[in-house]
Amino acid sequence: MKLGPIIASIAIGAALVGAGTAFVKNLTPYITFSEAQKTNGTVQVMGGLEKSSVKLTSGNLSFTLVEKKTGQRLPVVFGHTKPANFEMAIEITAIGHWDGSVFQADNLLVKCPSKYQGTETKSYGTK
Amino acid sequence: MNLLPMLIVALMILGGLFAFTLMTERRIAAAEKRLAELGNDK
Amino acid sequence: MEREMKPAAKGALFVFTAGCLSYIFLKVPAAVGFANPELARLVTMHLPCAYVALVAATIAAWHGIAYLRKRDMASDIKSYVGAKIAFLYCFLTTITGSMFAKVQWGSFWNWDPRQTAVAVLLLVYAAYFTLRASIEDPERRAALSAVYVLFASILTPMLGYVIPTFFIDQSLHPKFAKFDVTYRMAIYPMAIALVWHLVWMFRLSVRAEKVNQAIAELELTSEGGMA
Repeated sequence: MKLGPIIASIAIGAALVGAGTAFVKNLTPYITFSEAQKTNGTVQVMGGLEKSSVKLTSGNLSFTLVEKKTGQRLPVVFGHTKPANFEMAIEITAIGHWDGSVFQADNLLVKCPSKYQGTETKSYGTK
Repeated sequence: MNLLPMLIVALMILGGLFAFTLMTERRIAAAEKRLAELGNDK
Repeated sequence: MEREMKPAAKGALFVFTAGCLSYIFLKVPAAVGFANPELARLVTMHLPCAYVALVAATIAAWHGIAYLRKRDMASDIKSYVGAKIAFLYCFLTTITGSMFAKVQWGSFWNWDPRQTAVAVLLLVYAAYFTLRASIEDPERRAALSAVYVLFASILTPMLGYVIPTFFIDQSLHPKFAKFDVTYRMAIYPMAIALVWHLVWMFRLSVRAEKVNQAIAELELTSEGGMA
């Protein structure tokens, strides 16, 4: 039995797992709100939608995102049409940049619900 | 119809899988025939 | 050598698959709260593909271990075929996921953690095929492939599930999705249909691989005889 190559492969594999973990963790595209406010380029941020903050003024959609971990708030402006399920959204990903006073979003991605059910009443009814 | 994309996705995947296996069956039959011929030539 | 699937079994599989498909279209309801409620049904293809990728990765690892223990070339072929099917289903999961992302989130690809993870996973499998192609000696190739496929198989659930679910906080993917009974009745049978089909495809591909290798060997020896 050639043990050398086997041990080497195991070491390489372990390194691969470690590198993969680090890689995936680092490649999370979403940065924190404070980081976004210091960056000039296009970034992705993710946060909970504060329902009461949603406003539609002269074609511009504005709302506030709340960062889950820190509770920090980020005002966002979006100039395009509202995504289909925006009212039901719990979390929103905004892609855009911080212009000094507000986050200018070029695109909004809406996190889908984690429940797959036909009607809302049905699930409450059977509970 | 709103469901059309779903239908296309499902049919492409499932149809593709069945088509692939059925084609592989025919390919194998041809290859096995060839193998037998090669064996006879020896 | 490989047992073939009987025509009756193939017919049954076809009927079962058609039944699963009909159920999705006739019984599964549009899901409330999605950007496109009708197309939430895409999950009934997306999730089974991911399950089957894991099944195939397990098969590849199983036969890889068998090769390392017994040094039987038949195990190498089975492990190779398993890895090919795992790659196919990782790819199908990615494609269906990307479509799902487009209709629900609004973007085909935005490097969501799971998307990044699956991209890495596809590269891991691509490296496996490159590794196989680059080694001439069959026994060396089989041994190295077997070791590598073990890690690819471990990485499959790690990158596909464990890391994005337990080590990453923010994602557009739900961490633990809940399905009502109609969705469960669509997802699990569809996974069974795909695994059933996998058995057929696996046996066939192993047979094809063996025949092709036998022909290649015969051609090699007959050419040698003529020279």
